[in-house]
Amino acid sequence: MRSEEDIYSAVQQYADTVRRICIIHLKNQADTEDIFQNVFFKYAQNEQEFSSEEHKKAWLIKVTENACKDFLKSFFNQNRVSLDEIKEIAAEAAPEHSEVLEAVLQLPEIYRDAVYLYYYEGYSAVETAKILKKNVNTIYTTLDRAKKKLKEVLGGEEDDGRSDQKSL
Amino acid sequence: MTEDQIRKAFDEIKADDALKQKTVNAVIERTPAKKRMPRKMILTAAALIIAAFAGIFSYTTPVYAISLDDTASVELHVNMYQRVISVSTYDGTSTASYSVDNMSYTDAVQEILSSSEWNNANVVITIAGGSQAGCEKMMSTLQSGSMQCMANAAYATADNSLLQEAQDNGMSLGKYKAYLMLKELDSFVTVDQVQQMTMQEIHQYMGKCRGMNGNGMSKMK
Repeated sequence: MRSEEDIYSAVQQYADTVRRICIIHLKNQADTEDIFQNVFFKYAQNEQEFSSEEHKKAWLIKVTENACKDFLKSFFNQNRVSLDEIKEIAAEAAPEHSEVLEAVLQLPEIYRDAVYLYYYEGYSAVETAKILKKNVNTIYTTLDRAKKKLKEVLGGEEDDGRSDQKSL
Repeated sequence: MTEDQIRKAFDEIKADDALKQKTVNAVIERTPAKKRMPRKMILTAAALIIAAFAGIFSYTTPVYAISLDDTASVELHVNMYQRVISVSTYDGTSTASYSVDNMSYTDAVQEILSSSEWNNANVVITIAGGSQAGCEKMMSTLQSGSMQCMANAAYATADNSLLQEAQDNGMSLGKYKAYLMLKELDSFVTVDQVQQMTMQEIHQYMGKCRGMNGNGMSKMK
């Protein structure tokens, strides 16, 4: 069992990451709180030594993904996020970003996961496939389809040309 | 649209402090206190158990033997804390006659010598075990005891190996040491014969063998 200091530190450091994954999957704050507690309780019980912070982060992302999916498997939680709820979540973001966030959240679940991990967390297609337990080619296809859908919604703006960015 | 726009959009999503605190509180509350620091508790418990066993072991391990020989023969086994932990008798007397367990060795010696079975005239006190310096210190402490007989007793220290030999031959340390001295004077003397003799008789016979103070004691030959 981990110490209170360790638990506190992990929550402080990775709460935003867990929250983002929850937003991708869940529809309300109450559900998010449940997932938060389950994820960090699992962390508290898990005594494995992580080789690095990246390793720890990847473990927490996987646990959160699984916790969200398990939660949604429940009969009572199978209602998907409504458009209104997506708008409400997106409204948390500043106006200039809410449109993008809303568009991403309206993507099918597998697209949202892949977009988040690949474009936001910066995982490679292979790493994203590993976390989501999918074939790498499936991830490439998923990202391609997600890109098309986002362009449909947001318009096909040109890439700003920065070499360190992955163009959609 | 670029990755940068997606990153900025997701950057806007953050877990607020209330959610973080609520999570920490809930996780810690769900974590049983006894399981939260098991290693620390296990180490503390192990240290206490080891300390307890070490204490018990050190208390019950004899380090010194004090042999009191006169008409009776008694051996006190003393631990490192200078306390008597057991008594052996070699004259057929029950050890129950000597209730000196856990007494300091000085009190125990005084208690035994004050009983009626001891005439105190010819007490020989022999100490073995631990270190030679320890034996001599104990000897000195007993010599300065309040009882006259303790001051007048004949004192000796002996080697540790002698203690085991004495026990193997069913004699107290002091009597066995006297037996060895007698053996040098009379090579025919046996353990069985000496076991039946008092210290006074042994010393008288030694005197006879040396041609000194021979008082006609001839029971051995």
